[in-house]
Amino acid sequence: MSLAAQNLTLINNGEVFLEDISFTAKPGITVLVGPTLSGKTTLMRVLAGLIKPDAGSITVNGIDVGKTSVKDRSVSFVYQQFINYPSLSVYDNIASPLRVHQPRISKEEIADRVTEVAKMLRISELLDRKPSALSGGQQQRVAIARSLARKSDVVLLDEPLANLDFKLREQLRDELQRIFSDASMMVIYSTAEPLEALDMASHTIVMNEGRVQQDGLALEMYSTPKNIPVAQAMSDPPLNLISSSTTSSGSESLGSALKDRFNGPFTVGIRPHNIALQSKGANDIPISGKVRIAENTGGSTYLHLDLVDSQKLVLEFDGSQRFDFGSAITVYLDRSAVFGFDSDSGNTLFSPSAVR
Amino acid sequence: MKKSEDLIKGAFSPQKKKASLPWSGLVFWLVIALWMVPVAWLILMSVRPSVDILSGFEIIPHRFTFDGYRDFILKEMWYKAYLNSLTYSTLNTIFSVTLALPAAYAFSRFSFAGDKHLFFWLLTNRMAPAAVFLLPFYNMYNAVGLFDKTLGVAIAHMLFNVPLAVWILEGFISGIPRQVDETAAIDGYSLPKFFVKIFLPMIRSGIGVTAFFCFMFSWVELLIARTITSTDAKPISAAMTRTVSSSGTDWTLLSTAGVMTIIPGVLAIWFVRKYIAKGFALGRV
Repeated sequence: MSLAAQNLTLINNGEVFLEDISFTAKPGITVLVGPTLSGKTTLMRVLAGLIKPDAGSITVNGIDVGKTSVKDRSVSFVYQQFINYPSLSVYDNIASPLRVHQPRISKEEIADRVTEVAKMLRISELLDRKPSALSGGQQQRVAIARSLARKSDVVLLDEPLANLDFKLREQLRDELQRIFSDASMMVIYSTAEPLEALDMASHTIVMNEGRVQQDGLALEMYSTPKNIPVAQAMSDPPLNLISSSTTSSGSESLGSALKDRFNGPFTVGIRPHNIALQSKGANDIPISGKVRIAENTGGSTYLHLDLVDSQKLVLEFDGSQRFDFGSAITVYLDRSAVFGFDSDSGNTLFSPSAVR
Repeated sequence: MKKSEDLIKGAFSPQKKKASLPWSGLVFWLVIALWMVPVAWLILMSVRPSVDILSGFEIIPHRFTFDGYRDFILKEMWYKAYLNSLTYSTLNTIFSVTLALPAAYAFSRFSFAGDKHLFFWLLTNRMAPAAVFLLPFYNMYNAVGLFDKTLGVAIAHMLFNVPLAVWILEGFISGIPRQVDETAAIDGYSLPKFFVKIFLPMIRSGIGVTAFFCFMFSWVELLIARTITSTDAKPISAAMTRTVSSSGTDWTLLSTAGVMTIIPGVLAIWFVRKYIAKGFALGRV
């Protein structure tokens, strides 16, 4: 059992939407991570058969499905918006793909399957209602139940939790993980949030600008990204990127402070939580800047600094503290958590020695 | 559609607590009463003998007669004309909506060569006065044998009603996210099956509103219907214009015909009144 994409390319009006996308998904969850407009949804639509690619092929269990029409493919799709059939009850919504299934499925089996997935998604009490009488989270549960009931080879979940609030998202994600982890289907789960990929801890594909940037395990990409787009896609809050020529302390530049890692100009990448207000030892690299803004998000604070050459730096620390606008401050980068990227190609020169 | 309706309800609900004007109920009924004067007068005329109608002013009739209604039901010229009108209006409604549904779906969902021009052209069909089409219809219908047939009138009225129906339905269809269509395709529905089983129930209020407008336009249209018919398919509106006989004008019977002509409109409005508001909210009616 596998879903394989080979060299998928989609160009519309001279604009490249997908470029040479190849990957193989095994049964279980494959997470597709990338910022908005990276081509995740387009790729999902191509995989579903809603858009025909200009080049490349899709094979499911070794069979090329390129010529199979959408309705004859063994695939289901869940949208970010909660899409259900408003005129049908929840029960009929879930049963609808089974009723048009070829070969025919008996009434009893349909009833069994609907009851089973409804129980799995905890919507058993809602089966008689219309989707419009449900909350957003419940509506999405119905959509997911419909995609599950069909037992298709491929399940495509396009940012299914993006329109839900934080608590519901956590809860439903855990449930999805539990439901799909022992399923025999290939589940493609797209998200813009790296934390979701890390939480699912499964096969992850990072996309950016219509290309697959890296393919592997989420944690691997978090600690050893191949290039800047992957590092950015796997960082939330966003990764800091500053030039190695930036003055560190006194006359020394960041580059010379890190010359044991790489000799020559490069781009320094560091995550906000790897920068501290106090020095923790000789391993830290001091850097000075001016306070622009401090955002308190409850548990932690994001401090935005202006560096020389109008570069910016954001650091995250626990708790809260008052800062005066424009006041000079020195903060400390954790040397062992610094990434180095080639300034031209964006490829990784070195990654942190250990995951942090 | 449900969502936007809820939104509207939600947005306006605080206004329900607006201070109500004193006497507002009275004003409401006064306005209604003024509006109803011609209709009430017509109803009163239909139950008074012709002599009384002409003899002088009286609000409450001192004599009642139901001769008008009896004649209307028993005289072939009248009930036949009434049935003719009902027949071609109904036929026209069925044809127009059936034809407009796939067209509106195509305009809403697909882009094709000249789609925007074609959609605008639909509207321009309503810009010419009906009289313009009298001669071609008269001549053409005589040639193909559709003259003086209810089917002929039904088809002629489609000239106005199909564009209108497409225009209204397109608004309703565009209110439904395209993802629903895609979900159905992925679920394994063929387009015709999806259209009948899932799509039509979703836009049934739109279909109701469209059918109402088609029926009403066809029902009240006089010029074309009269020109392309003579005796067999004569519409009620035409019958009402030919009431002078050797014994003078039968005012009672004429009023009765007027009352009867209002009835289908009243019934139609009663059935679609909920949906009409929805249609207005979607901005196409």
